[in-house]
Amino acid sequence: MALFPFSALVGQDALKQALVLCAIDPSIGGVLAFGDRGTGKTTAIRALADLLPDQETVGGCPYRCAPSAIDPGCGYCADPSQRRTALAKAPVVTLPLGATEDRVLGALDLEMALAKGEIRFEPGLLASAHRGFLYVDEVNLLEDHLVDVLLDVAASGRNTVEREGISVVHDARFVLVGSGNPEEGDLRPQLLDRFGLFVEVRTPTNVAERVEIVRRRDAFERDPEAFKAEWWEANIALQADIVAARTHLDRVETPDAVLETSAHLCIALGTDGLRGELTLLRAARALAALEAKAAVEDDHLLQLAGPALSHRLRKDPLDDSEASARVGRAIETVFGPQ
Amino acid sequence: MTAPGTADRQVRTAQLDAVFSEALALWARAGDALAVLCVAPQALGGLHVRSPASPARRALLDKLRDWSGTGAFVDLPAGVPEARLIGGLSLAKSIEAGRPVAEKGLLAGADLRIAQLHMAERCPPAVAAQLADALETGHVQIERSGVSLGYPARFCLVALDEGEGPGEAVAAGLRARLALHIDLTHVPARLSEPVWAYTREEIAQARAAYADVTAPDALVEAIVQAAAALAIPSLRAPVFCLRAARALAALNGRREVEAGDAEQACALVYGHLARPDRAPSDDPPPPTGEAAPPPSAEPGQRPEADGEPGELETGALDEQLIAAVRNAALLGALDSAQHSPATARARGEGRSGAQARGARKGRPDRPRPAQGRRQGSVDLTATLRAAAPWQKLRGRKGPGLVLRAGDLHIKRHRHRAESSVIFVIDASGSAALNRLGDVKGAIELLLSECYRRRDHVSLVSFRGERAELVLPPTRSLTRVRRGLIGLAAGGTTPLASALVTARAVVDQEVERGRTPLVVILSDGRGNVALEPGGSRGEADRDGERAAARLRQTGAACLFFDTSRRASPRARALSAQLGAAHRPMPASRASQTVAKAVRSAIGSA
Repeated sequence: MALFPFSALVGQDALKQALVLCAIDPSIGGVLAFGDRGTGKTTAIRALADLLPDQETVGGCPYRCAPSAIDPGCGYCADPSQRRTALAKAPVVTLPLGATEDRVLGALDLEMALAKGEIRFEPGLLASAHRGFLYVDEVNLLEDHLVDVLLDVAASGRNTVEREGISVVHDARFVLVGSGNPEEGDLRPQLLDRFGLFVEVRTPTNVAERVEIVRRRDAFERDPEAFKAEWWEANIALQADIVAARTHLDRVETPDAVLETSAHLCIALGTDGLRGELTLLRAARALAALEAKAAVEDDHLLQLAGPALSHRLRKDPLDDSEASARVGRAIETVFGPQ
Repeated sequence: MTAPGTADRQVRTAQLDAVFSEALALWARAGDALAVLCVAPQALGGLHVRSPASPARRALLDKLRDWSGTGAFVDLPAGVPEARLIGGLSLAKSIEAGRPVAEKGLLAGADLRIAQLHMAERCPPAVAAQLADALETGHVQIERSGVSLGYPARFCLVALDEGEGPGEAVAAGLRARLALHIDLTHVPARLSEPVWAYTREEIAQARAAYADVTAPDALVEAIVQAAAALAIPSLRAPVFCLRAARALAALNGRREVEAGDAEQACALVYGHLARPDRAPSDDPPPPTGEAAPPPSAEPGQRPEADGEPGELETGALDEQLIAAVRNAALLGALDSAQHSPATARARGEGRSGAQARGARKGRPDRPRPAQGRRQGSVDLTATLRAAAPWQKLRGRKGPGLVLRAGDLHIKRHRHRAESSVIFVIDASGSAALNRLGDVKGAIELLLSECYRRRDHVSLVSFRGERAELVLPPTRSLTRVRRGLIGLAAGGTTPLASALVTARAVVDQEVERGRTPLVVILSDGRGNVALEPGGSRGEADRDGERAAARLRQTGAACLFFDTSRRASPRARALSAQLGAAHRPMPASRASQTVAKAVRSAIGSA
């Protein structure tokens, strides 16, 4: 299946920005995209697969170990002769509807166990998503216990399986991306704030933009290869920016003044806990790195306050008085009228 | 008795003519939709056919098979289980082989063909979601029960929807992926053999030419603008519309889309999304500029534009396109008026399969060891998993498995039955005068409880002529709130109709395996009979009968008397319903209602 080029996506700036920032710094903690049907959430997220830079892996390793950071528990890489470095695409794994726990976490390899009597662990989707993205569409319809597991592993970066006499722990660091349609049911509020960034995807109301979307879709459908070739350069340029930002990330300074502003912002909004503040700072640093700035600036906080904080406001489930409006008011309090 | 006069006869002939020409127009449209679908079956996703089984529908499907050139349809029977649809672990083959054997589902056979989903309105949400996903990606991926399997499934879906009333329809997520929609509910039987506009060969030629058809920018723009002007928020609709326009150009032997193609495509793809308003006139007119193109008034399906439709920059519109859609939409207007739940119910329940129980029996939970229990079905994966580590120890030789009783696991379903709270709200003049505000407040308070418990909530409102299902059961709080806010008040009190509607919802919810709770907030002063023009006395009798029927369902029921003083009529009605009768005190009304419902939910 041909993928729509990421750089050819029209609009959806907040979602694209959130995804790119997570590609730069996976510790931001993932993205939750909520919005109506037919707004192209899925297209945008799948398009990531062609955008992410290739990565070095140990060829054939089922846990996608990096040659520079081999998981000490990895059975495959335990044998040094196996360690051939290979270049692979960063994974964007989609969790299919109705996936069960054994295939997500990994489980006893039944075929091996039954045919040869060998006890072997068969890695699941979490292993396949290691060092990449794991996408869950309609996350609000997913079984509660699976959502819990996903968020837990995404936060810890380790997957622990204890079942059927198997005891396995392996690295599973991935960016969790969820999408959903609020019309089909809300996400449990306690899960909302486990996602790093929250983006509301809206249908563009600007006709020129809508025309461009339809036109590009049509061009892509008629000749996917030609269309992709047309956007190849833009994709490569964005990819190069991501690579550059990753190396630059550690050098980005976070001035005390920015830390203070961020604290003020969170206090003004009454966000629970520190997670919001940490996410805001990490995302702001990634954005500064993307823009090749030496330090985080107030403007970065300003841009990311919405995505990083709007889903962490303490709220009554009935009060849908726009979270974004509340963030806007807090920004005005802290920064003065915009 | 004298013979009817000439004038009478003329009027009747004119009426018949109108009915027939309407039906002919519907058929013509259906024929175009079929032709377009057969030119680009996968690109258009499929066809939603709203119609009971009828000669008309049969004729349509026969023609589709003929034109599509892909042979017989792949049948997806009503209530097809998810595992059969997409595939998974095969019980029989696994046992035979002594190792897990995966099997592809029905959709594997549907690749590059047409699949026909029977009784699509009863399709369980999980199956609808799988179909929607496969339509979107052209691929099926299974990761469950130890099976990891993927295969292409680029198919075109015909959803046969025999639903009655707005509450019974194909899941919105699936419907949105089918570009075309045909409603044959009101095509007279005698007109079931239309004249088809194309031959099989013409369709095949168009199919071959479709990929090379281009559309000039101006027309792409017009197609998008028409959708905007009709307040259709989804971008999938204009994408489909453009594809349909290209198919029409191909059918007409052209390499480029012309205005006429675009116009026809708009009528085909947008028509059902932009239905004329059938709601009473006191709804605020849609703020879409001068001649306000009517947005959909289907409760719960109203395309919610982000912000108001008025925000769309429509610019210089292609008025022709919009006019075309409006005409197409008018064709459907009769249907929607006749599709009120009350009339649908009155037509009886003789439909095949209406008695079938909902397939959902709670969510699957982790399997547990059978431990001598013999109830429930065997969970093969869990059983194999339990047995696998011990095969060597048990001295297995050859392919046969060595199983012990202790290995046996059975499937488990979490039986936390879902509740569904149905609010029946009296919005008539008498009740609304002082209490509608209280009532809304009370419901709002309750919603936070429903939200915590993840209950389904639906709203039935009654006023004026008849009751209306403002919101079919949903878990989305956002939608309930919108429904509540939009509740209009005033007019007479069609209580009987409200009870009939409530019963329809109760039946539906029971079939879906949910436990319904009916909460009626009214003063009990029903004064409208089910038949238009019925007398007061008939209104009372209808009310009693409807109450008795609702009671027969056995659903829990609560009646909140919203009159100033506890009224004897409300008390009598509560008794007929077998409902707890609670006067709603003026102050702190909300808390009282909330408390009562909470305890009713708790005991349900």
